Amino acid sequence: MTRSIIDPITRIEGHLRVEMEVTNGKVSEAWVSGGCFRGMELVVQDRTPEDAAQIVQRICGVCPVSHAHSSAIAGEHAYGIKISNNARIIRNLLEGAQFLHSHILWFYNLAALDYVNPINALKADPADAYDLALAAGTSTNSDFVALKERLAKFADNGQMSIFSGAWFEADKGQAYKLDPELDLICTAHYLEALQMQAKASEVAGLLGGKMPHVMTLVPGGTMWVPTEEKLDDLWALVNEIYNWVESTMIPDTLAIAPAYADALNWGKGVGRYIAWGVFENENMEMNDRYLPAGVLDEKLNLSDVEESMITEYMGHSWYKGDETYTSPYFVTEPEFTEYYKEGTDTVSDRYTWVKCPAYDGKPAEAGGLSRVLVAYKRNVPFIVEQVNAFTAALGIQLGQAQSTLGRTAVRQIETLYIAGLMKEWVQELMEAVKGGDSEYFRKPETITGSGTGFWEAPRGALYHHEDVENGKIKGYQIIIPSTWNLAPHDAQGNNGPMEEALIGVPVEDIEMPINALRTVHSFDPCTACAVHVTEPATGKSFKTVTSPWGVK
Amino acid sequence: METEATVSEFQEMLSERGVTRRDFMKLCGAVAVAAGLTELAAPQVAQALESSVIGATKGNLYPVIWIEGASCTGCTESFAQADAPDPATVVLEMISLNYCETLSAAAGWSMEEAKEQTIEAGNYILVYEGGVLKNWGGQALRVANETGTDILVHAAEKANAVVALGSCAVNGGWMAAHPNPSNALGVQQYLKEAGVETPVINVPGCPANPEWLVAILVDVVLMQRLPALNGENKPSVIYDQTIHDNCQRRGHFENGEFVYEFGSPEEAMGYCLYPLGCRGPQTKSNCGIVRWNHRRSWCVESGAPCIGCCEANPMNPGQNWVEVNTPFYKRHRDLRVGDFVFQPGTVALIVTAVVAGALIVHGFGMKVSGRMDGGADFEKKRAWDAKHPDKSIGKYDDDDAKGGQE
Amino acid sequence: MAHLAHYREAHPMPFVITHWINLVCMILLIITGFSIHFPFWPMFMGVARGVHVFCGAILLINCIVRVIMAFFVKSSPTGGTRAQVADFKTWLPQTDNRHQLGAWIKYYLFLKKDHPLGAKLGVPQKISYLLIPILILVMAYTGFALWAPTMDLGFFSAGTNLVGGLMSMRIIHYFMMYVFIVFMFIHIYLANIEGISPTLLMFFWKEHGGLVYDPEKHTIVGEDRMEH
Repeated sequence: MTRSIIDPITRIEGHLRVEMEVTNGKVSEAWVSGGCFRGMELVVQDRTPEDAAQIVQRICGVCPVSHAHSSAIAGEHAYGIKISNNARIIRNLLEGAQFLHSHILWFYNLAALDYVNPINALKADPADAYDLALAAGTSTNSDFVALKERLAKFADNGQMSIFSGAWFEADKGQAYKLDPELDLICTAHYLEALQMQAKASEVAGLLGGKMPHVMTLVPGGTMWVPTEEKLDDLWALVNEIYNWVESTMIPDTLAIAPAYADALNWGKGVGRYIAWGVFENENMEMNDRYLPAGVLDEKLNLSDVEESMITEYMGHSWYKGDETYTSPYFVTEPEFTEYYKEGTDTVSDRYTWVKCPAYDGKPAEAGGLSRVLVAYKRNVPFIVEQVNAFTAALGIQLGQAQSTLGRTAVRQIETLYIAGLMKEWVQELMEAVKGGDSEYFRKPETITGSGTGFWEAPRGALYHHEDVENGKIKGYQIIIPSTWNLAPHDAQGNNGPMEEALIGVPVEDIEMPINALRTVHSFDPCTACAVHVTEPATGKSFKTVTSPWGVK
Repeated sequence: METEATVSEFQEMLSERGVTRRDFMKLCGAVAVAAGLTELAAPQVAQALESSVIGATKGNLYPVIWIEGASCTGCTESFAQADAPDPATVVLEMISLNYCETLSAAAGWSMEEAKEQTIEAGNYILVYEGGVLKNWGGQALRVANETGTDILVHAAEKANAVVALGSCAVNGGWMAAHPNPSNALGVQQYLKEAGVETPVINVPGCPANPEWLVAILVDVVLMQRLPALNGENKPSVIYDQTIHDNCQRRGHFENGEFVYEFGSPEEAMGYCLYPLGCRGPQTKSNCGIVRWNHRRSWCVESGAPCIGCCEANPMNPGQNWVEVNTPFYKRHRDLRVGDFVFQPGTVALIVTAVVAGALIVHGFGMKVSGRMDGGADFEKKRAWDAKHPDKSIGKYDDDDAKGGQE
Repeated sequence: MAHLAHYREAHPMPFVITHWINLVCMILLIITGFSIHFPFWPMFMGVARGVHVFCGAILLINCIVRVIMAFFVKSSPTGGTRAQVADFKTWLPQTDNRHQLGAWIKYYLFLKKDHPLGAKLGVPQKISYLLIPILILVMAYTGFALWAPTMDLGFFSAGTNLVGGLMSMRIIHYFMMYVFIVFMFIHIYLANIEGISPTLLMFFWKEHGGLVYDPEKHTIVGEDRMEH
């Protein structure tokens, strides 16, 4: 038995530590620890729902739009506002732009470096790479010769920059399995993806002023008003992104996957999935969203989402007490205790800043895989068709998608779906504008109430709840997708989804447990999001000196 | 990609001459080999890596360590949206980004080793993103079983300069807003407390605009100097003018053409967002000039009033942009006395109304007591004089007559 | 007919002028200030800002001139007399004021029936009027700290830093305006509640008969009806 630790986990958002017990070359026990506490829910206290929609975005620089969106929906429910049709379409476009940005960035620029070795691309023959790309049906926008020269110049200089300390030689040099030509193609697409994620962010920037942290999404609708020139920019950008995604992402996935087919055999999480749904349809029903809401049990049986089924437990996290609270009434007070038990290298009972949420008393996985599985079960035609084609292409059953490789791959289906929807929404918006609809924002008529915003971030199910009194927030609660996925052990000692997914993952080299890293990345974790706290009901717990000018 | 157009145009010319793209590629490969680049590069890298994980400790690239403190990764994300030079050019041809939690290929111990080796080799810049958290002895942020505060001090000590990137790094940002539950503050203040004297360049913004960081890197890497800084150690060229000074809607402000409601027809005409609480007149940065996301747009252009995310006093976490600017869509911030939160205008109006009311009531009193027409009759003698005849201030006629006694 | 005679010597012409300037500037500053804070009359914005800065500068200069003149221009120390002393002395505690603060407060609270004897300016008046130049200086300082062409001068930016940024500076500037408004309410009320003769004298230099006060004897010595 040996310990293998990855801290920090890189190419994610935030601070994450994974500690694993390795027995006979496989992970037998795992502790996932979120490393940062910031206290968002306390900060939005006594501020307005409009402010909250802005402030909560700062939980996460990768998925700010989702937080603003979820917060705005909670605010609209509290205020009793139904947003206008134009606002719905524009907000879908804004959210979609972020999903595309996030998924492209995650797949190529974060996760791909677990599978692709750009240094190995130095050995490639650009002409063969071109042939291979044609054979794989993936895009050939880049000049492979120029890229190889560029890489050679970089290597020639000798400084490793972002490749410093990379695990390319892990597992005695066997961890990275692609041919140099495919490495070259994927490196080209890594660089193209850097541009394309920026292109997707440009759409968010166009609609939201800037990205990350968009400005126009507000409870009541949107501040953004289309004009002819903004619409034509939007149309062109959305088409460009679609064309790239369509010609590149799924072919690349299918080209890489065979080399790592082993990763279909491990990495299954708790096998229960939650999706709150994202992208509003005209009827604004959660189950009828473009990616619908739903909960799947161990046998993948579908049920509707119920707020009261959500609970949170903090007996293994750095908060006081060990009660289980039911949504939306959470109470917690942060209190750090040591990670290891004193004088030992045994992980303490409390080992993370992440709390432990549960649905129907059990941990559940959130994310792209959850959304796609729920959409599949709800018979969203595009998803059904693509998932069937995809599993056929890889020669696997749907059940095997519940694995490290499966989780990594199905996000590309979702990416293509959203890229296509973006084009539809632009069309829909143009039709609405042409038809003379010019309503974008609705004012609240009452400013007291409570509301919940069930939504999805690219990383999974997102929940914001707020109690508002005279336009001021009196209680705020957030449950983040990564809180579900990075949850510590629950009260019964069951593993959280990522911990469970790590069990059984083969580890050849405990210093470079590359398969564990691949599994962690397959969740697209977002730790900064995951750590939160609510206002302690017991009164003041933080000693701060206040003056009319704020905290000193 | 940038060469795509030329290649395909060239490709067309070639195919007109009966040369396939494949033939062309082969040719190019041969040329590169002849130049001696490709074939040699791979073994050289392998050699450099034998002694360290960061490769060569010297080269054409300026070493940079990018540490995320208590961050949302938004500033890294923002950097990924840089326009010119683009992020790939920056990390492959300008700087050697040896440690970056979001972009590095490495993970775990080898990641930490890359940082250690870079610090040892020296002559690097530290980019620090996110706030510094002091609560629980720094344990509010833990990386590699160390506290965030220790990590910052260690990396900053030997750096040529520290770039505090984003409002959180400058003074704690939103985390420092009431009640500041994690005891957040900025890099400059924390390093001063810790006795580290490395110069700090403050680059506030939520997130910081990527063009700002890139401009600083270009200054350092290509011009071998630090940018000119103002009194708060912020680059003057970015932070010495207000958003309002350079706003594209400024003309409408002068004309008195305003947007009074979100999403209104006035917004479509690009009128000024001032009545909706725009913080442009009091927020210093050049957002309207550099713009965002490949210069596609910026907050005001999209119809959103500035919320002042660049407001950050490096030595005062209380003066963070959230505390100073909420509620964002009102012209004034809220003030806070204990648990009582209020708008300054409301209190001022109430006080004024109370005074006015009191005067009206008093006026009725004056009327009732018959003083409105010239006031009451004067006292014959000051009350004090009456009590202190020996020290009397007035010399009263009747005193003369009656010998000073009433 | 209980008030003292209102003679021009109490308010020599230079002070009538500075008082007029104060009035016009303050009213314009308040109106334009509200308009700048929130554009109720949008088209007025450009003009409002120009007028605001201009009037602010005039008010400041006027304030300085007025303070300097206090040392060179003579005015009556009390009502009901044509005798004059250096004006600044009428702002400082005078023999006529001594021990009268309590009497004034009692009088205004209806606890004292008779009108207290006193100098040209009663004790509460002196205190509040002396605050006005200080207020004007604070307004000028906070105003220049908010005005783009001057906000970066070290003298102003240091203050901005001290109070916690431009938003705080704006709020101070805004609060102070209300202090002016409250002052004006009280000032106008007290000056006119017992008749408009003081106003006629202050603005139009129109004299009005009344009781005669002897500043040497510190008491009323007769009456000058001035054809009334």
